[in-house]
Amino acid sequence: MKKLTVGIMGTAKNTGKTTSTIALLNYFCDRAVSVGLTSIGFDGERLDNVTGLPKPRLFVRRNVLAATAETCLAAGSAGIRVIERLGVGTPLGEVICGRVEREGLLVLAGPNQSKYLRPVIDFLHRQGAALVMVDGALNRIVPVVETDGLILATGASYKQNIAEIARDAGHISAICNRPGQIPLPAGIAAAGRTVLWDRPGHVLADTVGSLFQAEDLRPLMNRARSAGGFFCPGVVSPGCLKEMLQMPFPRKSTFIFADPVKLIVGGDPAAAAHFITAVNGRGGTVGYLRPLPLLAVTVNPFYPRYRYETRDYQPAYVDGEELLHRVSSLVDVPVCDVVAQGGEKLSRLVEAMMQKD
Amino acid sequence: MTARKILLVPLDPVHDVGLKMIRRGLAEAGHETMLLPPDLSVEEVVQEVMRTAPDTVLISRTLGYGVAEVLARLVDLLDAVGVRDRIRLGVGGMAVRPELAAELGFDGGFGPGTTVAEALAFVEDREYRQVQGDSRKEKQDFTAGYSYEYRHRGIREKLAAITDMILTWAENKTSPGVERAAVREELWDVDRWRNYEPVNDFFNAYAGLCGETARNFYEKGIFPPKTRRFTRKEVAALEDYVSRTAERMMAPRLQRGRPKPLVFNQYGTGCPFMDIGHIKVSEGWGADGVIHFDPSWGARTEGLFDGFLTHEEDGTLITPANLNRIKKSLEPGTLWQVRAHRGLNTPETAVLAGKIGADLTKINICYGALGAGTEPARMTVDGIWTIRYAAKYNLPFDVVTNEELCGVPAYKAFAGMLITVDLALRLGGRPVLQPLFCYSPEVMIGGQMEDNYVDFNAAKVVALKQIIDAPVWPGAPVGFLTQTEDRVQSSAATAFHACAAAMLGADAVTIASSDEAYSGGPISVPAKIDTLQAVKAGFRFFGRLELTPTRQAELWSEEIIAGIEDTLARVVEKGDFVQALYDGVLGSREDGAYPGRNGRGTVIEK
Repeated sequence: MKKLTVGIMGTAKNTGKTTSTIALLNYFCDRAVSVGLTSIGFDGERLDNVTGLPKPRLFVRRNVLAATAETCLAAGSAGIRVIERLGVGTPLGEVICGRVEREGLLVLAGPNQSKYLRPVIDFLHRQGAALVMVDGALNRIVPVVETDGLILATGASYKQNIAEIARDAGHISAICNRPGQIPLPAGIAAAGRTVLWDRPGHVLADTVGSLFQAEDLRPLMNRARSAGGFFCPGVVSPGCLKEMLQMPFPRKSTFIFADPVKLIVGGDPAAAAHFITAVNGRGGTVGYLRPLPLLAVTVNPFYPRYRYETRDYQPAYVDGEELLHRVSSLVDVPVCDVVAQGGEKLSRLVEAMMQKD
Repeated sequence: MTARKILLVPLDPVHDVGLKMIRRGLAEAGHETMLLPPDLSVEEVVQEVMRTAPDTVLISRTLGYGVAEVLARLVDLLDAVGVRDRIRLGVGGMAVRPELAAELGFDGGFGPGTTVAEALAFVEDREYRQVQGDSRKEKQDFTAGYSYEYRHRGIREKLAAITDMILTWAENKTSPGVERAAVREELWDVDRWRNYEPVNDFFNAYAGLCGETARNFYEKGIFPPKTRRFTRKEVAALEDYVSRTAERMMAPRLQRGRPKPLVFNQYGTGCPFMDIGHIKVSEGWGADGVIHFDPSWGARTEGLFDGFLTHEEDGTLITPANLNRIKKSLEPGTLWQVRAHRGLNTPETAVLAGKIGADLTKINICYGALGAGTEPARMTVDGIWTIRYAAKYNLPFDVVTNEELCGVPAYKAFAGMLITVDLALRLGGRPVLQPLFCYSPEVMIGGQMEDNYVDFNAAKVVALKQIIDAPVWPGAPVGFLTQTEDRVQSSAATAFHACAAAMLGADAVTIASSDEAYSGGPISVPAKIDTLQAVKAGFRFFGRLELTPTRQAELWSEEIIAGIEDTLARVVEKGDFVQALYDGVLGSREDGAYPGRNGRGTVIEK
C-alpha cells in the first residue's frame, strides 16, 4: 500500500469537510490503516466560530497521528502523547505532532501556510502514517497543493442555487482533471516570472509572476504571435485569462501553470474552465508543472440561514437528492453525500488510490 | 529594535478607526506605516502587498457570514503569489478571536478591546505580556485610612451608653453557639486538619454541643437532608478544573481610574464545585471579592457539619472542607467574605472563617434578631463573641441592614447597625457600614423614590458620613427590589446603583446577577457576567465624576440622622438592649420586623 496524502477542500464554510474527514478516518481506523491528521484551519470545535451552530466533532481512536497546535490539546478529550514539536507557529501556539493514546475528541489546528504543510505531512508519513488527511479551512485551497489529490466538499452553504453549485463543481473538476502534467522545456528558467518562449525554446518576453490586470500582460503582447509556449508561476485572474484568449497566440500554443490551484484561486472557476476548453479547441494544450487531481466530490445540502429577527443562524437545507444528481451530472469523478449515503464509497475510492502502483 | 514596515488594510467598507488608532501607536514606536483606503478588493490588497513589500499586514474587518470566505481568499491569494511566508499577517475586528484567525490562516487575531501594545507586540514578533497591574490584583483593606471617629456627639454618647449596657448584660452569659466556637477555637488546629492528622479531641468535645441534626451526623453518620459527599471522581474533576482555569485566569479591573468601590459578587449554589465555577467567572469578569452564602436552614441548626459536602438547594454548607476548597480556588487578589451575621453558628463561623483564611465577615446583631430569625438574647450573646473572634482573626465585617427589606425604616435599621458598629469598636473590630441601596417598603409607602432612586440612597450615605468616619459598603446586593426578570433591565438597574455608590464615594459594593431575584433556582453564569459587564460599562461612563447630593437628599439625611438619634435615645431609655429588640424600638411588628425564635431559651448564665 503506497503512502497517500489527500486534501479535503471546501467551496465555503460548512460544506462538509470535517464530516468527510471523519468518514475516512473511521473507515481506515476500522481497517487498522495508520492515519495521520492535520488541518490548515480549525476543526473539531463544538460550535462554528462564525455562525455559532453545532459542528461535527472529531473523535479519534488510539494510534491516530495528529499534527495540531499545542493549545488545542487541552481543548479536546483525547489523550495525545507528543512526539515532536514541529516549529510551526499558529495563533493557537506551536504545531506539535502526537499520537493518540486515549481515544476521545480532538481539536485540530495545524499549519496554515503551504510552506509549512509539506514538512508536517512528511513528518506524519515518517512516523508511519499510510494515509495523511489534510482538513481544509473554509474555501481555502492553496496549501492543498502539497497533497496528492483533492476531495472537494461543496453544498448549499456555498450557494443555495443547486444549478450554480453543480456548475462550479463541474468547472473545478475540469480545471483539476482535464489538463495533464507538462514540464517546462529545457532552458526555460522561470525564476518567479511569467515567460513566453518560441518553438525552439528561446525566451521571448517576461512579466510579473502573478497576473491580476490586463496591463500585467502588456510586456508579452507584441511577442505572443511568435510564441510556442507560456508559463505563469503565480495566480492568474479571470480577467487576464480572458485577455490571453484575445492575444494573438498561435493556435497550437502550450500554456503551463504552476498547478490547478493557481487558476481556481483567481475566484472564477468558470473563466478558468472556459480558458482550458478554448485553448484545447484551438488545438493548444494546457498543463501544470504540478497536477492536483480531483478524486471525488462530496455534497452537503445543509446551510446556515441567517435570521434577521434574532440576528443568529438556524440550520436549513436544499433538496439533497437533486443536489447529488445535478453535481454528478457535471463532474467527472464520483460524487457522494456522506451523511445520507455513508462514507464507504468515498473511502473505497481513497483505498483504491493507495493500492495503485 | 528594527523599524518594521506595516501595511494597514481596512477591508471594511467604512470602519478604519481602529486601524488609525493602532497606526498612531505603531508610528510612535518608530515603525513605518502605510494605511490603505477602505473598500479595496482582495486582489487590489494582494497587489499592494506585492508592491510595497511590508513586514506586517494588519487587516481590519468586521465579521459576518461570507466575510470569513473573503478573508480566507485573501490569505490564499497571498500564499499563491508567494508572499505569505514573508509577512506577518494579522486580522482584527468585531467577533475575531484567535481560533478564527487560525481557521482563516492568519498569524494573529484581535477582537474588540485590543490595545495598541498588543498590536505592537504582534508587529515586533514578541510575546504580548499584559501589564502586571491589569492582570494581577492585590487585596485591598478598604477599612484602612478611616479613623472611626464620631462626627455626631449625641449619637456617640448614646451608642457608648448602649454598648456599656450590652456588655454588662452579657458579661456572665453564654450559649451553645459560643461554647462550640470556643471548642473550635481551642481544639481545632487548621494545620493539623490540613495535614490529614486526626482532630479527635475536637470531635469528642464538639458533637455533644450540637443540636440533633448535627449530632446525628457526627454520631450516626446521618446526613442532613439533600446533602451528600462529593465522589473521588468529582473531586479529581474539580482539581483539574481549578488548575486548568488558574492557568488561563486574567483578573481585569472594573474600576478604570477609580481606586474604589471594590465590587463583590455573591455565590452559594449549594454545590461548592459549581460555586467555584461561579467564583472563577466573577474573577474573570472583574469582581474584586466574593461572598459565601450558606443555606437558610443552616442558621437554624445548632452545629456545623464536616466534610466536602454538596447540597441540592440554595446555599452552600459551611464546613471546613467546603471553605478550604473554595479558599484554595481563589485568585491571590480576590477578597473572600464568609457571612456570620445571623443564626445559631454565628461565632463559630467567624472562628472557622478566620482559621481557613477568609478576609471579611458579616455581622449584625439587630438584623440577625429582627430579620433573620434568631432569638434576640441569643443573637446578642453570640454577636458579641463573633465580633471578638472577627477582631482576633483580623476580619473586617460589614454590618448589614437588610431588615429594611422587611419594612423597617432606614433610620431604625441604621440605629441598629450603629449599635453593632460601636460594640465592634469597643471590642477592637473593624466594622464597615452597609446601607441597603434598595426600593424598600419604607419608600414604596413613603414615596421617597417616586421620582428617582438616587436621592434617598444618597441621603443614607450622607447621613452615615455625617455620623462617623467609617467605610461604607452599600449592598447587599445593591438595587434590591428594583430589578425585574428582564435581564437587560436588571443589569442596568444594578449598574446604576453601583455607579451611584461609586459617585457617592462608597468603598465597596455588592452586586447581584441579573437573574438573581427571578432565577427560580441557582443563578446562571451568563447572568453573573451581565451585571459585571454592566457595572464595568457604568464605571467607564461616569469615570471619576462625583455625585453632589441634592437639597432633597440633604433634607432626608437630616431626617435619618434625627431618627437614628431618637431611636438610640429610646434604647437608652429602655435600659435593656434585648428588651428594646423585643419591644420593637429598632424595628417593630408594625414595621414588619419580628423578634426571632431560633435558639430561644439557650442563653445561660455561666
